[in-house]
Amino acid sequence: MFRPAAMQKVGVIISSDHCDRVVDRLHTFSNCEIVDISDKIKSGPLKALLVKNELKEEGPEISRNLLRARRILDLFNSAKPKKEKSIIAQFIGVEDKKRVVVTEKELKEKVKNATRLLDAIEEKTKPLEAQMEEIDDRINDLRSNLELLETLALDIDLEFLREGKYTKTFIGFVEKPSLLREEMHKHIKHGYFVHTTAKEERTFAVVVILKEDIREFEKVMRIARFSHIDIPDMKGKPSHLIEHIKKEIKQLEEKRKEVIGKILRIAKRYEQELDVLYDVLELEVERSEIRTWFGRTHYTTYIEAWVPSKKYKAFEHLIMKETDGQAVIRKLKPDEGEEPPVLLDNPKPLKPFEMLTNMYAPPKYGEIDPTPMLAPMFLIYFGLMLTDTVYGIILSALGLLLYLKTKGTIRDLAYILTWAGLFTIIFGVLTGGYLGTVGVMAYNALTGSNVDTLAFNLFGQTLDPIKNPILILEAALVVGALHLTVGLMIGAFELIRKGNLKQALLDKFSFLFLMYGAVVYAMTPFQNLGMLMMLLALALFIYNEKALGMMNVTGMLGDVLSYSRLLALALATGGIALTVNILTQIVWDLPYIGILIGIIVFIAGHTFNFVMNALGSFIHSLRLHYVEFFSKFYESGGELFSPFSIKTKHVVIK
Amino acid sequence: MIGVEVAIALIGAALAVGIAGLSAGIGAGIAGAAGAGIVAENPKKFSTAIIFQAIPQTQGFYGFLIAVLIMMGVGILGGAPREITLPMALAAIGAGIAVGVAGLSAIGQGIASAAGAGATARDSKMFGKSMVFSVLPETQAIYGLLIAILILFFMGIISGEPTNLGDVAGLAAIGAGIAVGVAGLSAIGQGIAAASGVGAVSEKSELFGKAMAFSVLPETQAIYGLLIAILILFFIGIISGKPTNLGEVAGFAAIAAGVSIGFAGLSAIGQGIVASGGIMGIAKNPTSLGKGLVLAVIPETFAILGLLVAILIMLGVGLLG
Repeated sequence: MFRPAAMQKVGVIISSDHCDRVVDRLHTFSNCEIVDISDKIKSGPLKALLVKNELKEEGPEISRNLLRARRILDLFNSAKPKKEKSIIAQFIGVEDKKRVVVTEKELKEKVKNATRLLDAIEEKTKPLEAQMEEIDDRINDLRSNLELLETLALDIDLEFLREGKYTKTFIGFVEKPSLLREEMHKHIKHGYFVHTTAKEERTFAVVVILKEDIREFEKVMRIARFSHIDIPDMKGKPSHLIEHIKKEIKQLEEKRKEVIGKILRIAKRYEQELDVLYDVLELEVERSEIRTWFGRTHYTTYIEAWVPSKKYKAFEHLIMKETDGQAVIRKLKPDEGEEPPVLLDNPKPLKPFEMLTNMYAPPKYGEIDPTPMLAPMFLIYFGLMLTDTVYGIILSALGLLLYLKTKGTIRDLAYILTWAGLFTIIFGVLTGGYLGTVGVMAYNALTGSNVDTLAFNLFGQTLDPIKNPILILEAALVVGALHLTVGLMIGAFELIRKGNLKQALLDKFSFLFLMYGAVVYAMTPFQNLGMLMMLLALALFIYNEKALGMMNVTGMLGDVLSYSRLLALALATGGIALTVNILTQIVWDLPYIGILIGIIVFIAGHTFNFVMNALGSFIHSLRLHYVEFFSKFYESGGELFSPFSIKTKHVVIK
Repeated sequence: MIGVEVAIALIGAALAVGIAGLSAGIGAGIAGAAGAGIVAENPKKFSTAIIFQAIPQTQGFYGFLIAVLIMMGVGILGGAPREITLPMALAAIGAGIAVGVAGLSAIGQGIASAAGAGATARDSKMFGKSMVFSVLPETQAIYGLLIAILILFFMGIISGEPTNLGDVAGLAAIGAGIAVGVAGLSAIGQGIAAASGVGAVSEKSELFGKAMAFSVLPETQAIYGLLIAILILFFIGIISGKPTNLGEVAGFAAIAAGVSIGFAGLSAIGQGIVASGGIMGIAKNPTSLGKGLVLAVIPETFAILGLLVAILIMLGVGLLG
């Protein structure tokens, strides 16, 4: 568990007849990462031997059916009433549907019958879809006509506005009505008609002219800034038409609801079956497409893959079984420059913490996996910084609730939070924090005593951070120094293991000399020894990096001091809790509304404190690891192992 | 008859809510501007805009909280005016400076939140990581709030029993306030770096850990400020209750130490700018990480010099025991 799992590269030759069975079984095996050798076949060592493999024969049909299923499911979804997921729900991505169990045989059946099922559903849905489209188009048309009609500030029959034998009518909005009349008078030789009305803040105008004057009028339009509107192709007065259109729109919307109702009824009957079919088809498409990563000869298929060494025997057994023993399996060495994929290999209780390691970056293959060290220290730092028993209880309760109700990464997070809550409870009890000072006050009230803290005593000193911050600060710095020491020792060990003693000395032991030299100097009578160690460290720094080496001294100081945030955040939680309690007490005594406001202040204040400090404790715990600890030894940059596996939403394959 | 000490204490309240309010406003303004852009493109993202705009506002509430506590403590609000000694009044100013000036961290948070809002609007899966980056500059405000609460509590302004410490305590509290407050401006550097972090991670999510490592570099200065503030409060006797027998020189020494580490802590703004560049560097070329970190750490030297001088001052007047 201190290193990623050992990986073995394998090459497999099977008869192409067995390809189907092998692919299906490898898919459910979910424990090997197929290597895409199509590049090596195109232009590499395998070019002379192999040809790229193609998709399954039924592949294109399956893809088509997949698309059809998707379309129908989308139709069902668009018919359902909208429910916007809040951003928190999106973040958590809560699972809501139960999964259906399907065997491999049933899977094959469903794929075969897919076309028939889809045909049956589409027979019903396609006409409804067409109806919907028609209705929607009509409604849009009507709506734009409606908009147009509502802008007309004129209530005469639209037919009178149509182009006549000798005349043409223009309607629209004019910016300068007086200018319009002036220009008309100037430019239009023959008779004309102008009518303007004010409509909202604009002027609506109607102009009738002889067709011969159209040219001249266009000039007038420009000068007077007349923007003309096309006359809608309708008969009757606008007011009537508007009534009529509104009625028609209403009827259409009724009809639309009916159609949606029919679609929803079909959805009710078929949706679950279709969801299952969709997942199943997706799997088949994956199984078809993975083949393009294989190589082929006339009769055989060649596959390259990575398998965790622990699973090699199972892999071998599987291939032999599906090919009736007619297969050749060889262990391969990785290609030039090829890095094995990284699979973290921690025992079950530690596995959820891998998410925190991977969030920074997975380790390189063969390097240290920091997860087993990160887990306990993360929890300790978190508990030390959140430090309140009641907050810890709430956090664990929330964590447990989430853990029971979710899957995947959120479940891992819930696991971590539950444990973080437990550690918070421990440190809360030790430091005597129960919603800040509420615990002390309650204890005094219930037992009639008059203690000023419920914190435990250690070597005669209280552990209450507000009363004795210096003790916690000293503890934080000591913990920090030890944490850094562990990191440096691991770094040194790794360098020595790789045969690089010189670098271990210059980069790791030097810092240890500096740190422990200072300790010896300040805390023991052997001051000369301490001074010597520190000077040795300085010499090593300068030898390694010349003048820049001196920065390492301040860097180390900064690293150790960074752990003082353990004190700061512990005090912050306690301090803000104290303030909330005092505020509540002050407000409580107000006449009439005091108690109500007091309750609000209390709950709001402690909730705020809980959320802010839980978030802060999480981030700062993590940060102490990512920045101070990891920088001492961690080699990251590996690619995560991504096996050819089954990932479905609605189905579980047996 | 309300004594002049009460008036002096109220200046502390004014500093707390005033400077913190200024910062929360500017921070929320920066984040809000980003939010306005987001909702113009997609009105459904209003909730994203609101959430990220809320983040820099906490500093304003911290300032308000301390102002209310001071006002209640001197009896102006809810109760009869109390007998306030000059040290307590000066301490209230120290508390006001601590939470107010540290509240300027909201500007850094505004910068980071603006980036976070944009990233989340484009891809809602970035919400968690954007939150982490946006919350990073809050630490400085928490440190300021903490010191303010400790001062008010131990000087008897919130807990009711006036302290018997002399003027030196009041001056020392101001020193502590300056230390943690001015050093809190390091959050602006952090905000600049965090904003780049959000940008880099939204393109390549595998850079999260490294971007975070760069973004927290400017926080060291804030820790130094907090450390000096706590040392001052402890050794002057404010926290332990055993007053030092040094005269007023200790109080002025504390102010000197606070100024030394506080203003040297502003070097974090430079660090933030380098860190921001460093993040963009690793987004383009991951192998530049090591050298980028070296460049980013160089402005810290000056903070260390400030820390050194602060400690030497305290040692020199005999403050550190």
